[in-house]
Amino acid sequence: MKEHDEDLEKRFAELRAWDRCAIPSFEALVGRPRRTSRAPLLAVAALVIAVAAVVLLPRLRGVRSEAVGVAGWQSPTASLLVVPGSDLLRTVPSISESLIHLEEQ
Amino acid sequence: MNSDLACLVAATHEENFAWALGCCRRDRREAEDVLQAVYLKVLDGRARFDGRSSLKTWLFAVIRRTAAQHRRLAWLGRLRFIPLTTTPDAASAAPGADATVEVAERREQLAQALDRLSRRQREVLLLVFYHEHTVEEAAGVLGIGVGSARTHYERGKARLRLLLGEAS
Repeated sequence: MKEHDEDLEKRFAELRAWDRCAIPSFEALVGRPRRTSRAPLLAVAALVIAVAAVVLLPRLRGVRSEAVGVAGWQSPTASLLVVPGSDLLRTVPSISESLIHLEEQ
Repeated sequence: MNSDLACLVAATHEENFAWALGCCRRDRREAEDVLQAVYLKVLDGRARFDGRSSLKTWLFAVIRRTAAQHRRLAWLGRLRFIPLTTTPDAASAAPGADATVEVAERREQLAQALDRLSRRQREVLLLVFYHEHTVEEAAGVLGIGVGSARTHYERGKARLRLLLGEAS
């Protein structure tokens, strides 16, 4: 068991020695311009817009259909107001107009 | 105060970089970005050392957390199909000449085997074998109990041996 630990220790020591070959200096690392990417921010923005669209669009569609429903509402007893000859009540007779209409040839 | 802190942090810079490298799955470019972010956090006072642990343990914990944040951002970056960081490749490998090809092969085997471990197991083994921490100190860095760290250590070691045995 101990032998195997020693082998692991040796392997890790080799890795450590390799890694230390090229370590940037503290000053260089702190002083260099930051490598920031806007990709994550854009991805978050795209995600937020997609979620908002998925959540809000069905709601907006619901409001519109509700408005159409209200405008087209009719009373259930409206049909009782339609009686035979009701057209006569909605028109005003003219004095000069003849009741006999001849079809022109 | 910041200059004192900067001196203390600079004194452990090599160790910090090596740990950042371990947290970033040996991607040097990502490790540099993470460590720069950590140093700026520490120097700006956004990360404060409260003295509950040693400075090194605290700094290692900050590096680990920052690397995790960076990983999450990289994942978001991939949603846009734009890689935030480069993957480890020949260009990101450290320059320098190898003593022997055999050493280089052994090193590569270890790096690949570590990559196949769970994150916790990899972190515990790196802290113990690479950074020569005790299991108790490793538990402090990872913010987990000593018993849990010991379990990860034993299981990780067994799996690492298995993987290295397969590789050689």
